Amino acid sequence: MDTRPIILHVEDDRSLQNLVRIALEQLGGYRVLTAGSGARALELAAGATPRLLLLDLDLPDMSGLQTLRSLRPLPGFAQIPAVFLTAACGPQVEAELRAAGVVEVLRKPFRPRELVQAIRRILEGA
Amino acid sequence: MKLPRRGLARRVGERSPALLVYLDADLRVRFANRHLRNLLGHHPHEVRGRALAELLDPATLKYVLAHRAELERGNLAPRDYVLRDKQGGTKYVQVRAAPDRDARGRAIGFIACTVDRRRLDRARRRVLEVVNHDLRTPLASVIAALELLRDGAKPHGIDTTSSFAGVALQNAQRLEQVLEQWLEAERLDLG
Repeated sequence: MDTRPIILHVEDDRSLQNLVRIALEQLGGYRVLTAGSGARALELAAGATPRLLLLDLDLPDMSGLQTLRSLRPLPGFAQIPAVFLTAACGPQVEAELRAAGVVEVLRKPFRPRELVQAIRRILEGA
Repeated sequence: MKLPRRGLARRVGERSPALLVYLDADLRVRFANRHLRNLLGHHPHEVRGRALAELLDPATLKYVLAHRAELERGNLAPRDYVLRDKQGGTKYVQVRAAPDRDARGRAIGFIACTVDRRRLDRARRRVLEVVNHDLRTPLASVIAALELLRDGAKPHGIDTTSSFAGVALQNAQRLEQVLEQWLEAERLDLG
């Protein structure tokens, strides 16, 4: 049985999907479920309860924030820490994300080791 | 549809989407279109025939004189101005101007096109936001791929070229495309 903590990663860029998965699985020891859209994230959420949500802001069908708001009412999702990994995020958007309970906003480009460290810190503090 | 046979040039001047001003060699306003009212609150007839020395504060007038000297030297680079509108409010505008020269090459007047710089800044900010996003996403892949390669992570699951170097190269090419498109758009914008 796979006991690794699950991270639900919502990102539409294929390269980043793969690179983040490799970083989190190989450097962090996590299991990553990857969704390329908000709708796909909701489908995956029906079958697993992740320990952390890692979202991009710009997604093809709905924004990352809308995705997060759609995930929150699902059973077991209300308290899951949410982290955004985004290319463009001004202070107003960041304030909106923080107000929605997002615990960390990380910027692209990112360093894989720093991403893993940030997630580890959040999960250890959770 | 029939265009008016006479007065087409005036119609273009009046209906231009930017504020157009014609100043004579003494910097007296000879023409201003109706956008003067939108931008600075003055009706064009209030300023026609008046010298800029009467209309502007000394510091702005000094800036205009320096701008005129540059135009006469052939430097047509746009300049940013801070102007007072009729109600005393501050307006940030960008002025693109060109000398109107006679057959002997002497500047007999100046044609100035003025736009609201805040509106321009908003448009630029939107472009920058898009470029910022389009550059940061492939750059994130380039850096992540190279760092994972350095850290000895195994590249299984990468479906494009089966290697971190391949992913880095592919995304570097995406970056190149974004830069080319941006430079092309800038080139078209500059005319």
